[in-house]
Amino acid sequence: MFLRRQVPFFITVVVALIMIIAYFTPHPTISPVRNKLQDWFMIIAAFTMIVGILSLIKVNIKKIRTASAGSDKIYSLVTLSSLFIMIFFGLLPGAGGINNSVFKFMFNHVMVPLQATMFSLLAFYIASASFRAFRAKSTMATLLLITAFIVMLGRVPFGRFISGPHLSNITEWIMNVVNMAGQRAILIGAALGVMATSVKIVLGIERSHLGGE
Amino acid sequence: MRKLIGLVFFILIISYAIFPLNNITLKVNDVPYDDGGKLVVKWKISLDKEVENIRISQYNGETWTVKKNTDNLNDSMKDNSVNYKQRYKYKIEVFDSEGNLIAEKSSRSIKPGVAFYNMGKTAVLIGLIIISGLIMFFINAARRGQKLKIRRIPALDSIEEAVGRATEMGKAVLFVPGILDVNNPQTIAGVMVLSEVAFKTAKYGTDLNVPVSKPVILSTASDTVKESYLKAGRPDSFNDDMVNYVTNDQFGYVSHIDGYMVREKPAAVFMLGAFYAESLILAETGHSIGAIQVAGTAMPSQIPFFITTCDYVLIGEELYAASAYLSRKPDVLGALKGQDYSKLIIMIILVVGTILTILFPDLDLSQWLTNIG
Repeated sequence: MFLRRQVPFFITVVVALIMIIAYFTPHPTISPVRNKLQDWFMIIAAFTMIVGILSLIKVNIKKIRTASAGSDKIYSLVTLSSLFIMIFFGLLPGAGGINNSVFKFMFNHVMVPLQATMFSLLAFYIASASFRAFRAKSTMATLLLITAFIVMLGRVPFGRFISGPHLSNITEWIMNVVNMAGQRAILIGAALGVMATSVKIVLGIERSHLGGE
Repeated sequence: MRKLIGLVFFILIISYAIFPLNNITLKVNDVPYDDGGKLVVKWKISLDKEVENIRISQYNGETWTVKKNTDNLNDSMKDNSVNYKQRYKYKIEVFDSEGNLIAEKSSRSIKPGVAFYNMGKTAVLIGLIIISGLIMFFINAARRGQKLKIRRIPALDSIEEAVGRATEMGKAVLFVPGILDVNNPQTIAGVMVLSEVAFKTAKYGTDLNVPVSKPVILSTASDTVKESYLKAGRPDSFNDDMVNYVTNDQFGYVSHIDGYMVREKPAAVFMLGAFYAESLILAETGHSIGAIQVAGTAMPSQIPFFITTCDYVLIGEELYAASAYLSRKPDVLGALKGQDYSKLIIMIILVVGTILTILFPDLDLSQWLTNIG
C-alpha cells in the first residue's frame, strides 16, 4: 500500500512543486531539473510502450483462441501479423530502420491511405450530424438552423452573389464575436477546472487516478 | 566674445551641411527576466556612403564570432548563444560594395543578467494565489462541516441510467478516455469518472471495455478499474483485458473503436477526455448503433459535435467537476465551490473591465493588464 499510494503521491507533490517553481523562475539552476523531469516522462512513456504492445498481443491472442465469430479471429490475426511485419522491417539490422524501403512502402501505401480513409468519414458524419442538429424542433434549434444557414451562405461564393458583402460580414461577426465569446467562456471555465484539479491532486484530495479514493 | 561664439556655431552648421556626420549607434541590452541566455543587439547607421554589407560579431573573451550579415541600416537581433557566466562585447563592421571596411564600432562589454523571478508572470502568480486560496478556503469550510450546495449536472446523473440500461440489455459498457496522454488534465478527469463507471459496472455485473491510445493510461486506467472492482466487493469480476491498449495512432484508434461498436453494439458509450477530429466519428457511430452516449471534453471545437450526437454532454469545466459531483466527498465539493467563486471573480473583472474600457477608452486597460503579465 505504501508503494502504491504514498510513494506516487509524494513523487506527484515534489514534481508539481518543481514544475510550478520552474514556471515562475527563469533561473538556470531550475530549468535543467525541469528539462530532466520532462525527459524522464518521455523515457517512462517509451518504456510503457512495451507494456502496451504486450497488452495488445495478449488480448488478440486470447481473441484468436476464444472468439466464436470467424471474423473476430481474422481481425485479430490481421492486427498481430501487421504488428510483427512492421516491427520486423523496422528493426531489420542493416536495412535502414524506419527508412527501410519495405517499411516505408507499407507506411506510405497502407497506413497513410487507411488513416485518410478514416479521416474522410468525417465529411459524411458532419453532414448527417448537421441534418439532425438543424431540425427546427424548438426555438433554440430554429435559432441554430438560421445561424448555420447564414454562416454557410456567408462562406460560399453564392452568398456573395446574392447579397454582396453583407452575408460575409454577418458571418464574420457571428464567428468573431458571438462564437468567440462562447468559446472563450468555455476556455476560462476549463482553465479553472484544470487549476482546481491540479490543486486537488497536489493536496492529495483527489487520488482516484492513483487507483484510490 | 558673442561674435566668436556665433562664428563657431555658424562654422559647425555649415560644416555639418557640407560634410554630414558619419554616425553608428550600437547598443547591447540584456533581456530582462530571463535565464541569462539572451542579449539584444541594436544598431542604427547613417553614412554618406553606400553600404553593401553590415557584419555583427560577438567577442566572448577568447574569439570573435560573426553573428549576422545584413544590409539593414536600422535593425536589431537577439543573440541566444550567450550565457550568464561570461562577459560579451559586440562589434559592427560596415562594408561598401567593393568589400572595403568603411566604418566600425564596438560596444561596451556586458554580462547577461539572471533573474530569479519572471516579473512578466506576475498576473499569473496573483491569479494562482487567489484561485488556489479560494479553493483551499472552501475545502477547509467543507471539512469544518459547512453545507455546500452544487448545481445538478444531468450528464453525471445519467451514469447510473446508462450503466443500468447496459445491464438490462446484457451488453457491455464502452469507456473511451480520449486520445491524449496522462499528462493532460482532461485525461485525468476522464479517468476519475472511469473510477465511478467501473464501480457501477462491478456492482451490476456488466462488462466494461476501456480501449486506450496511450500506454501510460493503460496502467493508470487499469489500476483505477481494479480498485473500483475491489471497492464494489467484486474483485473476481475484474479482468486485465478490460483495459486494453490499441494504438497511439489517432485514426487507427478510431477504427478499432468504431469496429468494436459496430460488431459488439455496446449499450452505453462514455467518451470523457481530450478529443480532436475523431470525436464526431466516434459519436456518430455510437449514435448509429443506438447506444446511450455520455461525452465530456474541454476542447471547445469538439463540444458542438458531442452536443449534436450524444445524449448527455459535460461541457468544459463540468468534466473537471465530475469527480466532486460523483464522490460527494466534502473536501472535493469544497474545491468545486472554490472553482465556482473563482469563476465569479473572473466574470466580475470581465464585466467591470468591459464597462471601464467603453467609458474610459484612454485608460488603455487592456495594455495595462498586458503589462502586468
